[in-house]
Amino acid sequence: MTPSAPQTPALASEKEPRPDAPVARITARPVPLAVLLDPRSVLASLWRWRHLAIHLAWRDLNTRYRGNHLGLLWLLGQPLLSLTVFTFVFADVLGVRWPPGAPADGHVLAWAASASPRAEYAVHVFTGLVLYGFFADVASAAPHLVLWRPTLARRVPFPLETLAPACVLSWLPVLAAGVAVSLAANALFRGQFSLTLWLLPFVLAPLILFALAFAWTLSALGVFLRDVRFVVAAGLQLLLFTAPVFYPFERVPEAYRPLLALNPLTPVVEGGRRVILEGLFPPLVPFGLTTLVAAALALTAHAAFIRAKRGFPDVM
Amino acid sequence: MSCEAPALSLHAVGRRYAPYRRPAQRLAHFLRPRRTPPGAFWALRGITLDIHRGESVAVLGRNGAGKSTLLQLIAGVLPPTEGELLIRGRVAPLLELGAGFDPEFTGRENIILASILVGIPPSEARRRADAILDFAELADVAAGPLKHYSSGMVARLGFAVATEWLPDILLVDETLAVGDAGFQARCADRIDAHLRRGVTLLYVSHDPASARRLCARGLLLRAGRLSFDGPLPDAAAAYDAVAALPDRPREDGANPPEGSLAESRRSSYPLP
Repeated sequence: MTPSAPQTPALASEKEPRPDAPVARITARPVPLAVLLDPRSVLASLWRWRHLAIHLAWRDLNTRYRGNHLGLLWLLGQPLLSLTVFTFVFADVLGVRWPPGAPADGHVLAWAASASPRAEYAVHVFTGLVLYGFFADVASAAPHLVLWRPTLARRVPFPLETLAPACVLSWLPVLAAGVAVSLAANALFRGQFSLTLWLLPFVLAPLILFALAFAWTLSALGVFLRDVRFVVAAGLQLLLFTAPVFYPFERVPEAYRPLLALNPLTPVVEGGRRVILEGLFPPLVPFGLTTLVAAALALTAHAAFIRAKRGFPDVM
Repeated sequence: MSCEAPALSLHAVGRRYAPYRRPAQRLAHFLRPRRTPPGAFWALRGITLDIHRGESVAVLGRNGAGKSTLLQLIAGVLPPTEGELLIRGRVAPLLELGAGFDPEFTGRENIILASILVGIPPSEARRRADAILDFAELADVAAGPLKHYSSGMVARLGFAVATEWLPDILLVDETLAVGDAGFQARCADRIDAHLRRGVTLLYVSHDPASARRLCARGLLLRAGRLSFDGPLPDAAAAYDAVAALPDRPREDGANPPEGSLAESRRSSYPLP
């Protein structure tokens, strides 16, 4: 940029159109499944649109809390409120107790002898609610991700498949705030700090992949079936009470355990409490399997979304 | 240069619209793709053509002839129902200026969003934001949300950001009339500057006279078919002959009236 160089005003690029420009091939045939189900193609697409996803997520966060007096404090307000209600109902009215004390083999820094049963219950339920809440927030937002953006779907070229990862991304700060509160509550009420906390990314991986899979699926379905969001609301209730959020998994009668293990949130909630609160390792084999299933689901959901995308302009 | 691959190549491209009464019917159609939905009609069919790099081509035709559908297919907004398109390089559609903008965001933020969408990294977009705002004459309102802009301001910003990054193929709709005479002159200058650099132009028009200034070749669309492809004066003559006739009914007998679905999807620019 020498000042003496002659410049064509108001043009960013001085280079000529590329003779070897990339070729886009648009056909009536749907993208082959072999391409769609290749993890590399999904990763490449995510990487290509990373700036867009970050931009959309930031916008989402910004508009969600803009104009609220408490602003970002609502991130914590909502789970704290439900925690208060549920602790009252389950611990005070129904008298549910968490199995006493942390297991002896937990890797924890401990500086308090024991916690009150009520605090024990509250901290465990809160941690479960934070993990469930992330999934619930993404799943509730998903059905209208595309539906509420008709201009993007039919009037401008836009990679609609970026909306789901952007939605997941926009709820991650909420999840992080919740985990931070769990850690604080664990230190404050139970006098403990988990030394297996570094395993948290491995516990969150299946949660995030499940959320992504549901976001892709529900956002595509929501375009064609407008009642999806009511089904989602009912389904989330079911998932909440069949995951060990309000009760420890060990309290579930033996006969029902395989059924509850089908809930994708069960291993996440159990594993999350182990690394955030108890200083235990998540069970390796079941956890690896869960992560694999979650990744496969996300891949399939992405493929289904890309296929379904062709139909969006017809109905919006 | 003569053996260079065309910038744009369409082979037997067709687009069918189906009036789905309920969105769920579209979902059912995925499961039984061979069953033609009732009331479906072809807005465009059997389009085969090559456009070479640096060519300027006018697309002529009456309302509902399929002009906008053709541009939407090339822009990648609509998928074709049959056939294949090969597109070399980046397409800049000046069809719906500002349609992808976010009303809650400021002018500057929308510049970055629109640039990301055409593959420009945010850092580069941030660097060019002031130049874009200057061109759109919006430097003094750049920090305000877009919902407070007039529709003319949004269109000006849309034009400025869409033409900032040199495209390979430019799609222009004649209804592109943005801003006052001075701004329109600068828009025309910028399009001319792009053309001098070898950008390929597709120009949609009802009026052959307006196409003469820019284009040497003309396509005539009639009821979704390509009825003429050749030098613009001949295409214009063919268009004048067609324009006097009543519309030929579509082959499948489902000819939509004027202002039909295909046409209602066309852009309508907010004029200041």
